[in-house]
Amino acid sequence: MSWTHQVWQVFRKDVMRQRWLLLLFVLCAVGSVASVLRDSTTMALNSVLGEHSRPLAELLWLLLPAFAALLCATVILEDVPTAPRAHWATLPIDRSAVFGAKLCFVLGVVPLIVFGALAVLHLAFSVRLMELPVLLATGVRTLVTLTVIALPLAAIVRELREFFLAAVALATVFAMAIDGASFEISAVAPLTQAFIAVLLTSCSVFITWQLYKRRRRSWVMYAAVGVLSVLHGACIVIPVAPYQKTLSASLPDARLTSTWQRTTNATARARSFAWQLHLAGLPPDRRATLRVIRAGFMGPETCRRALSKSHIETTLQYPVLPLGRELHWLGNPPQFTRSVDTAFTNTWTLHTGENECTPSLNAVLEMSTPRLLGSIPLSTGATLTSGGYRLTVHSTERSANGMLATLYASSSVAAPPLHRPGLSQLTYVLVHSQRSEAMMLNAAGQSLPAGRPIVRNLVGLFPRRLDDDSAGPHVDAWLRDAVLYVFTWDSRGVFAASPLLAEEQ
Amino acid sequence: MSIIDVRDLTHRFGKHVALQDVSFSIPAGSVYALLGPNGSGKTTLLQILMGLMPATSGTVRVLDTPVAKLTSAHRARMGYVAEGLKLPPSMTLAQLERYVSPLYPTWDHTLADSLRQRFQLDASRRIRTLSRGEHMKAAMLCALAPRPELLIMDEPFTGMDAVVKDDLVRGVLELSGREGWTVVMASHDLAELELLADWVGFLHNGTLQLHEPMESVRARYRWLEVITSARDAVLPAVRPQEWVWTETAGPRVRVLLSAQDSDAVQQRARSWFPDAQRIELHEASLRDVFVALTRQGLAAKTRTEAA
Repeated sequence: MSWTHQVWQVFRKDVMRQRWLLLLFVLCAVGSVASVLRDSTTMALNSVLGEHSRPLAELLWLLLPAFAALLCATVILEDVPTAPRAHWATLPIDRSAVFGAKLCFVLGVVPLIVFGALAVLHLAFSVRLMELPVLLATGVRTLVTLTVIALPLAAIVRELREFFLAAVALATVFAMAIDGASFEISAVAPLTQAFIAVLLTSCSVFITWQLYKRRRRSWVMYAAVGVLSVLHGACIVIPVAPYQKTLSASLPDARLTSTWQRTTNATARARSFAWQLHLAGLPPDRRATLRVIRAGFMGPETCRRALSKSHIETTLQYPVLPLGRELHWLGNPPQFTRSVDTAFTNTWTLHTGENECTPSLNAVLEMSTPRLLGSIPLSTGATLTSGGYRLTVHSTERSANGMLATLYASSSVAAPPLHRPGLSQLTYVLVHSQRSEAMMLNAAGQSLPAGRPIVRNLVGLFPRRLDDDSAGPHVDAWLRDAVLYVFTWDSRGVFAASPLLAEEQ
Repeated sequence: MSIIDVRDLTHRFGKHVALQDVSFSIPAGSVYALLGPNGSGKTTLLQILMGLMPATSGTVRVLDTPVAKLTSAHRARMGYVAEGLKLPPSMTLAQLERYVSPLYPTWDHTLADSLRQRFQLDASRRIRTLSRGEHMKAAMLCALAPRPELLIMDEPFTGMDAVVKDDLVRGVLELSGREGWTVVMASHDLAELELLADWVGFLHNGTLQLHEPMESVRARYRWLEVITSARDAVLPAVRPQEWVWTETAGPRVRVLLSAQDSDAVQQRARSWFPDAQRIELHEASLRDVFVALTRQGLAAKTRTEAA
């Protein structure tokens, strides 16, 4: 029997043996991906209605990587590499063929299912893969990484029970390491990170091959598997770097660093963890916005296509960002009017009033349907008329499933300059809004432009609600003293947002 | 022609020496019984012969190929059955056969069917639901159905009832005789081995203390039974070289001898026991030889440790 036939024979056997687990995994993958998208599309609506995140979606999202790791372990342990009396070792199959079949399964089938689920969603929901949310991308990366961790781990143990024990031990060690860590994360280029990921994956594959080849365990192998698992885990937990680099790449002079801190409140017997984001060196003519809105992932193109297919209801929500008096809408909240012609062309007009409507208006109209949510900067999607901004949206259907349009608007005018001596080195202040919007202001009080995906990273890091209205004090109070906005959570796992007072430089 | 050739084989598990300077060769077509007490290194030796673990030092050639270079084509000519062999637990026997049979060009479906019937195995049952004996039968089926040139069996009769064991012994004898299989078997079922084997090897503490044809063993080892006139038999001050093991009970003495010439032994027995009233020589069974050699080895070890 040729080598390829041997691989096929083992692979086919594995697929047949794991078919039910595979089916469950497929369901879990489709459910997870769909839940993330659905979650993101209805987030604005949930925010308005005061609903919170759905535990089932989060559970599915947690289950998926665990399922992948379990699937990987069961496939490897079907033909235990290091068991002295493993049946496969007595059969006329090359070790490399068994290893090749397992590798095909682990690195082929498992990611294929996830990417297949994404492809289905792409075709069915017209979701651009490149516009998939960071949460999803992080999840897929976590899944693949856990699979790669599980590969050598399952190869070095001999029973599923041992695998579970090892996994729990690793997770505990890792949790303790994170708990006690206080480290700075420097910017790592996406290419470098991809290289590291490929390198670690290659090492995992190599160690697994060595276990199949030698068919015995040693302390060197144990150590190698442990070190690799920890390194892989570190790559999951430190997802900040690519986004930092994104900013750095576009703004070479900007310096973005982040710091983890742990503080213990002895009286309250609580620990809090803080992630501080430090941004400096941004040129005055450039702006950056941290956006916590998950909907932002869709991008304007998808949104336009979505808008072209959707019917827009007349209900509008237009909460204004409470960024201080100067940043409020001047005067009354803006008004919208809508007209529909016989060709179902919806024309929206934003009445801002001539005095309030300045060319520097930084407004974003967010449209949500049960499926999609996107954002269109009014500066590109609308035209400025004497009555205000005019947005024309073509609708091709009169579905009962309407669209909720939410206007987020802010003005970059007239934030008071920060003249505190101690803040002279501090260029930018991150401001958190009561809505899921955050802005980066520079020392002159100018807001920074939208579109930078920094906070997408925050969504990946903290997949919880960051838009707690009760989190921060009044903006005016801390605009003067704030250095950076800090997202914290305590040992009970409750996320909250609070400002960090300025540090003396 | 030797189908297995082992030279200066040593294997260590850490500091423990499992096999030490083991050298032997097994002629093709023979049935080789590997004997030894628990922990003597039989399983380790068989696993090394199968290429399941690499030896620490020494050379091992199987099917005229260094064991480290055995390919899948070589393995297709070999069968292996061992107590505790981990068959895929979630498979049914039928699935296992479907999975394994394409790997062997010589797989005989008729033989597989007949073995399944003879072993009374239900093909639809999952491996994990099989009893210990049925598990061994399933492993045996997978090892025998390809009609291997070399069959290595480690405690193959574990958990089998007497009838099946007898069937299996006859079956293996018949097939190995008819098709020229070479069978290497380690077992504590000495009666079965005595029926099957035409070569015997005895391992003790990792060293091969005996390696010769069964005929030679039968001819060499004998019980010398002596009844002396004394109330308690007196043994010679210096134990003769031929004596392997001695048992005394009052005036009766039983000595397991290793000697080729029975007439000469009887004559020498007179000098060993001058007051002997009766001297008889009996054939020793394989079990007698095994027990005596094991006890001799244990006694030697105890003496060494005491010294």
